Amino acid sequence: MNFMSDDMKHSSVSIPASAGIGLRGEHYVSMDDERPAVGWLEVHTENYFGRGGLPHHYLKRLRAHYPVSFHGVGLSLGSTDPIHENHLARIAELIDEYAPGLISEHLSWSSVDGIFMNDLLPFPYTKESLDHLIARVQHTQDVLKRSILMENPSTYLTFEEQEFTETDFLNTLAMRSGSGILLDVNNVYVCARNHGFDPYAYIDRINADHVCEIHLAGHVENRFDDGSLLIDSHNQPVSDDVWSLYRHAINRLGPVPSLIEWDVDLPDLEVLVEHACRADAIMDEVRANAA
Amino acid sequence: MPLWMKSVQTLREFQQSFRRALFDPTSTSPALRDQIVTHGLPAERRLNVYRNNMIASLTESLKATYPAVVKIVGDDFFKMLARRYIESSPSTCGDLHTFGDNFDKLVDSLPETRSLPYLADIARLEWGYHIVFHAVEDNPITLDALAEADIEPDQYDSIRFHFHPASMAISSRYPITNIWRFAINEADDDRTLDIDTGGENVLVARRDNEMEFQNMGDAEYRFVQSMISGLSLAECFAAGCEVNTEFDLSNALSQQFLRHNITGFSLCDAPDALSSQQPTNNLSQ
Repeated sequence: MNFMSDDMKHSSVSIPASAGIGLRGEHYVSMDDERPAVGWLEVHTENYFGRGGLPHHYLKRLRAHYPVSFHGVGLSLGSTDPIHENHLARIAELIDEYAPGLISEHLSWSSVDGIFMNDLLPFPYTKESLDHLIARVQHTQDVLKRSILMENPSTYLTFEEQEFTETDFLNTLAMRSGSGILLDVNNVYVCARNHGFDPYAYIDRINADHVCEIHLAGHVENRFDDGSLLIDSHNQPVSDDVWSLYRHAINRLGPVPSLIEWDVDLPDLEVLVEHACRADAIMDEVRANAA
Repeated sequence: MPLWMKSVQTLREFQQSFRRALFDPTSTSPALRDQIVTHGLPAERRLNVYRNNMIASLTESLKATYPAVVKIVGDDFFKMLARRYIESSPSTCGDLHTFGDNFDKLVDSLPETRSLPYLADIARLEWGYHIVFHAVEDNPITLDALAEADIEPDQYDSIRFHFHPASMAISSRYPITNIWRFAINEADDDRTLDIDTGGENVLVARRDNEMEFQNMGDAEYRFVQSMISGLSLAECFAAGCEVNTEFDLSNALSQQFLRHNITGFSLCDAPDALSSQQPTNNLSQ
């Protein structure tokens, strides 16, 4: 088992190795009233691109009580279009304003020829795309003056002419760009089912030194006459299979900041807090076994 | 065929063909289709997940910005509107707050919405609401602050008032805030709304984190619009007088302070050009 001291992990200085929850507008008031005992909060960076109003009002108040992590969905790092420097500059302003403990983006692309599909799209893992991602991640880190984490996406198709597995791609990207890895355990599970691989072997191949955060979310199954696909819908409780995979990941990685993500059909805040408690309990068990 | 003999797409070519395939299911290129591992499901079935995700998330974004339009036209028709909008005015930004700025023009251009002549104005009102909701915060000042500034009477004309940035002025031939409230409030089938009660000038504003609609007369609307544009007091007054020769400047101005619309003031650079031909205004009331 590999336990690293916290200071060896990328920039996770202020995000504790405990469970956090995603902060969404629907929960602003109840979060502010109840201030539940969760370790930290994560927000979608772009939700704060506006200059004022309730989103900033509540994030400022809650930031005084919780460490906060920024999770970007719009930088389109995998795209071959030029990086939107205005987008990057706004993230930098928000970092100055809120001092997030972690900053993450996705191993995906969203735009080409100036058109945004605002989705996390897949691309072939090749030498060309690896070099491209390394350059884009390095540029992002240079502008933000912070290292970022790159998250493994949920995918619904893969490509014939790949030169790397996703784990090799992520490990090499992290090593060569100085970025960390945000390991989304639900995405691993969804991809394993959609593409037919062993999710436990995927977790075992990820370079533990680079994993600074874990995501947990719910998925749904779309059934067809000739098969089915799991969809990363973020509108469900975390499934039992994903909890088992998470336990395996924590056994291997040690306690890591772990986020409960729920974006659609949000339940009451207490449901998210219960999920966070379950993740914390798993990390506590692993700590106890290691002691 | 060995890998080196295949014509491998560059990452850019791949992304361009992927985008074409998402926007038009009939245009999936053979090169892209050959690249996709089927693993039990055909490539088109897998691409469909991305097509549906894109349409669903952009439609959700439009629904969040235009809730009254959704209520007025119904969910199914709105989905059709959203689809047309996504195709005709695709998103150009990773920040979805900017998506939907031309929705009123699409609504205006469709024959299907001709029976709802106010609908484009409702869309404009909702876009204004969305922009104002996220606009930067500022602190209103009171009339006292102006009095304390010791501005010489001959400089009054050249005062430029700083309008609260969380503000947008909208004018319509229809009672748009009534229609908006009627649509947003939970449906009660017995309700009726008379849309022929005349037009409305409205300032969509956020004050102290509360969204509000301030109703304005025609002259006041032109006056406020001029203030928002950053014109001098003389120019704002002239704009009001164009609509109503009896325009009551001191009343209109004090209203703006009372409604917490003024956040500061400064003197325009070249006041002389304006002061000679415009009336002087008594601000010390």
